[in-house]
Amino acid sequence: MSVADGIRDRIGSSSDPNDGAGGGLKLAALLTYLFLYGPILVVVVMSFDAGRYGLRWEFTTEWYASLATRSDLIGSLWLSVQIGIVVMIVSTVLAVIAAFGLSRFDWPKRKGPIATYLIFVPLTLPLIIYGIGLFVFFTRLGIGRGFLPIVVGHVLYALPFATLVVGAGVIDLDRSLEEAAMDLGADPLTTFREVTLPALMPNIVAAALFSFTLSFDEFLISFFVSGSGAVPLPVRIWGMVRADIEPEVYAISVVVLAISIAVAALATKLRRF
Amino acid sequence: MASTLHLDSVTKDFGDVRAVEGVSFDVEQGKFLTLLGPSGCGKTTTLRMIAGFETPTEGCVRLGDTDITAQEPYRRPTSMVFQNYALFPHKTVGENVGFGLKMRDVPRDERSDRVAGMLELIELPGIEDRGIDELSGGQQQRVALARALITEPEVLLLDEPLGALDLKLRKNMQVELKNLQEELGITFVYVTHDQEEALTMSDEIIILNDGEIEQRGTPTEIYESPRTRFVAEFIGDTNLLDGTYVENGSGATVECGGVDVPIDSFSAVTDGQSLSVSIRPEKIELGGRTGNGTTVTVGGEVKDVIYQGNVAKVHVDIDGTELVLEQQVIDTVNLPTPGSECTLSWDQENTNVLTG
Ligand SMILES: Nc1ncnc2c1ncn2[C@@H]1O[C@H](COP(=O)(O)OP(=O)(O)O)[C@@H](O)[C@H]1O
Ligand SMILES: [Mg+2]
Repeated sequence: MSVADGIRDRIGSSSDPNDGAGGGLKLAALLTYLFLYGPILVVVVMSFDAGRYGLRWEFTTEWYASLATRSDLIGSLWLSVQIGIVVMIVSTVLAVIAAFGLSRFDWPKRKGPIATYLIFVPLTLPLIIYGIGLFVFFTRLGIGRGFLPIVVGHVLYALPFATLVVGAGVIDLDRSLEEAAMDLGADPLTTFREVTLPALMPNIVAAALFSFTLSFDEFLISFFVSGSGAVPLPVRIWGMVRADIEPEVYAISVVVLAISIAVAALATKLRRF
Repeated sequence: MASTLHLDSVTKDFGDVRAVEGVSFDVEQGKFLTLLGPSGCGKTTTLRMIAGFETPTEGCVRLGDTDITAQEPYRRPTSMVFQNYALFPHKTVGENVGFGLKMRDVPRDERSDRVAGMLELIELPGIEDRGIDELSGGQQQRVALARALITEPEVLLLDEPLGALDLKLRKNMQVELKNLQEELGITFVYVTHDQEEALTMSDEIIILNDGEIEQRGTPTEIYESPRTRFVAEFIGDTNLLDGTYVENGSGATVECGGVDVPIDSFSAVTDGQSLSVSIRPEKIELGGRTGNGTTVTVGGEVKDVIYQGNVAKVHVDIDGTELVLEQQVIDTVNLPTPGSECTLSWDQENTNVLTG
């Protein structure tokens, strides 16, 4: 009997209401999920709480309604979406180029692994270094803080992840498909368009959505390089968090949550994980 | 348009590995040539150089009078059926088959007509709108064939195209492929490691060993007259005898332990040198024979009889040298019994002297 069978047996027997051990397992599972989603649940619950200072929870949607009047929050949300879209496009295009470069370019001896390492090492670096570096860099250039530095920072941040996702697809790609296309008369560009790109599309879409969410949620880099005119939502929210949190912050957090879940759901649907 | 495919001293190195070495051959238009050899002997590499996916390190490939050694694959009038079929998974059957025509800017209407015709030819009419993953292995194989044939290539290259099919389907497809090839008159260069497949289908066979050509010939020549030890062992079963070449008056003998095998005198070796011969088991008979050629007769003792249904393998010991013969089983009562004395005979023509 395999381990999996054993586990299945256990789970099977735990559906027996008289089984005390099974009940304990159920409780443990429930607590685990509660632990995982508890913080999110708190935000959701608070966003519908009418009694700002009261002790009793009462249902209301008024914070969502008043959210519409908060041009600071809405403006930042819109900015975050815009940044996310630009980052998504730039990072995905670069990721496709990087993935092909790394796996297809005829690297001289030992240069290939080094090139690969250099693309992925940022994954392990503290983000705060990026933040400081970008801040200094753009200040020296006289550009200062704002949209462009944020986009650049987010692309740097998202690119290794996106490259990883696209690269996995390129490595898995069956070379003979491209050869078959060429054999049938397709030049390299047509082959890329007709065969390579469609075959990679699930990975490319996943990389794009991944890039968007990474940018959309990013705080640390944005914190260093966002300026008065351009403050992405996470930085805006951080700025609003004081001893007492304005209820609109909960509401917009739930909106952000909904967007993130929607993007994740889309990614799962498009890519057969 | 009768273009012969020529390979001229083609060599291919992958780093330190020499995959193909000095391979030369030509195939006339409309012929079925098979490259046969064990795994890793350079069959696929040779095919890929003809298709244009690999550039030879040395030598050249010509089609008719045109040197195509450096021509891009998409400009060559060759088509390939890949070992794994390489059907485009995100395209329908119709789009797959019509791909080559689309690349040649054939108008949509004509394209769909020709795709329909092609699917009819491979006996899968009307499956244009199906997805590739809805097809069985055998159907995928046919679709891959259709996709390669629709552009009317001058040379069709097939890399173990039947390797993934089960035995029965493979046998059927062998016959169908051969018929199709004769019908269309397209040159086929066919790669396989399956000797039976090669013998069944080919006009000519080239035996490759470790990147080099061992022997080229018709199926009959390859089977009946193997010239090297490798070929004799690779194709079918055989008795390989190593011995010493001894000249005598009219002819010569190869003295192999207990057996002296008479052969025609052979100018390539001198007296006392070692030489090997090969005799196919089914060429040896039990008892004396009355052939019209020169008969070789030896006496021995039956060691073992292995019954295999239609035939029986009889192992005979001749003064310490073992010969195996194959006998049709017409009547099980007539099989020899182990331990009994026997006489073996064969036509001297069926003794193959191996030169390498
Ligand atoms: N792209 C390649 N890189 C390095 N070695 C290769 C490559 N392709 C083939 N080889 C080597 O060349 C030899 C012949 O391979 P191949 O032509 O595929 O043989 P076959 O098709 O007869 O099995 C093998 O030793 C194989 O490992
Ligand atoms: Mg091969």
